[in-house]
Amino acid sequence: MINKISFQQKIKIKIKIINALIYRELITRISKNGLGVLGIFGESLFSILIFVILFSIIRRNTIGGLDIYIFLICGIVTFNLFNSITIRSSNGIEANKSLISSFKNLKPIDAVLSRGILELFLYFLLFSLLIILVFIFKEISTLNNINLIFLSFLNVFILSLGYGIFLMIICHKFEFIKILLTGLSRPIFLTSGIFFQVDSLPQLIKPFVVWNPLVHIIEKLRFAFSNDYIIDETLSYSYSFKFSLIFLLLSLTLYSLYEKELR
Amino acid sequence: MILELKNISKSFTIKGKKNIILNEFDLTLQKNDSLGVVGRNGAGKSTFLGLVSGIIYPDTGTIKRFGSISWPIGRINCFQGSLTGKQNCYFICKIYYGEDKDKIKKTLQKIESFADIGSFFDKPVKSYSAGMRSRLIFGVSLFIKFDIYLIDEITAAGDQQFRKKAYQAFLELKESSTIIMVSHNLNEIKKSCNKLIWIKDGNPVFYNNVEKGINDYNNFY
Repeated sequence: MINKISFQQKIKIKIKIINALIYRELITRISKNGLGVLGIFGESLFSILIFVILFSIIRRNTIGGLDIYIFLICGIVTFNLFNSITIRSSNGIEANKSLISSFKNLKPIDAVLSRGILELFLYFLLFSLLIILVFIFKEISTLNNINLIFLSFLNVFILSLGYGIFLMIICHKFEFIKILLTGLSRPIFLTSGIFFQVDSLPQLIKPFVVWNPLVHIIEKLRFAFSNDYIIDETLSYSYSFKFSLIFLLLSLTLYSLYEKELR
Repeated sequence: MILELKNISKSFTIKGKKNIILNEFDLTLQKNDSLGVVGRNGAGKSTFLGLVSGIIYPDTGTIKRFGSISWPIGRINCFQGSLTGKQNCYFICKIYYGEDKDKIKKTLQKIESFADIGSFFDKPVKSYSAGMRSRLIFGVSLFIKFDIYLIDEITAAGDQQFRKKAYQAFLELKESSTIIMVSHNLNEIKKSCNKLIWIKDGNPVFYNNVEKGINDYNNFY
């Protein structure tokens, strides 16, 4: 009975739907960009290339004792993962409207979840490949704590989902927010520590940066590669995880209140 | 019993004016029943199908479905233009069959054969004509197994030959499933259904005698 299915069956249905959506999203992106799988990573690779050229010009090889390439990869890939999930989520209902209004079991949140999982997988793959390339070509193999890498990606995934679901709801209710999104993401971009080390910032500036959970995640991720990399004492996983979980919980509560309106 | 609607009300507000589609409506369908739905354009026939399928929520009341239920066939347009017909169908099969590759493969073969669009099956859907799209969407709708099929204008898709084929497939489906069909073709409803709803000014009228219902409907307009 559809209306009396067990929790286990519900989970099975959900897995089927998420799986199918991931397949559709992946194939669509590959077939749309014309560059195949490479095109998916285009934005991140381009950002990394720009920053590498920039830092080569100013002749910096390390930041805080960490290789410049690893420093940049940690910052750019993590931020792009966050950005990609949230931007795609804000457009999740529009992009999947025909599906949501055709298939009863396909809920708006499934669009966010499937896109989030796909992004996480793709960006983790990109991150691993880039780090391996750096290890090979620069003949370094600094790895301090591999668990911190997984924890960082898990943390950024939870944070992005929470923010993504929130954006999906408010963008659906108030269309004009979509126009403001780029402007709203600027403070997050500037304070997320993509191209600076928090410890090296003047004390006066630090309070304007450490509110951003992304900076905590990115700095910890860098620390995962070198024990010598100095983490500012104000940064902690505890803050970023609590922030992400509370945000996700609030977004899910909001979602459960508005789910019917989102169809 | 396969479907039960209790005290269902649904209305839409358009330009400040409340348009009542259903008002405290009850309905019970048994397995293998075939329900025809008639009404003028804009009466709310498609909304009724949307409510039954679960993609539209009622304002009040409960809908109990004692079996799997299809999407409103003939009214969905969920194909992604940049994907091939096969990829689109694969996606829909995956929603219902998960990782059962054998089942998906067999279903895809049936859809390809039924839609009869040749090599276009492996081409992007954006290159299809409207008729080809309809054939494919009709095919994928028919070959995913449900207990209740919701059909919105079965004879509206494709050319004459395809309509015959679709109608034949529909008759076969009717043998083993419950059907709810919306149609302006009253002869088709008379031939295929054993129950009827006439949606009229927010107050659907239910008939156990289809012929009487169609006569009433014809005499009214």
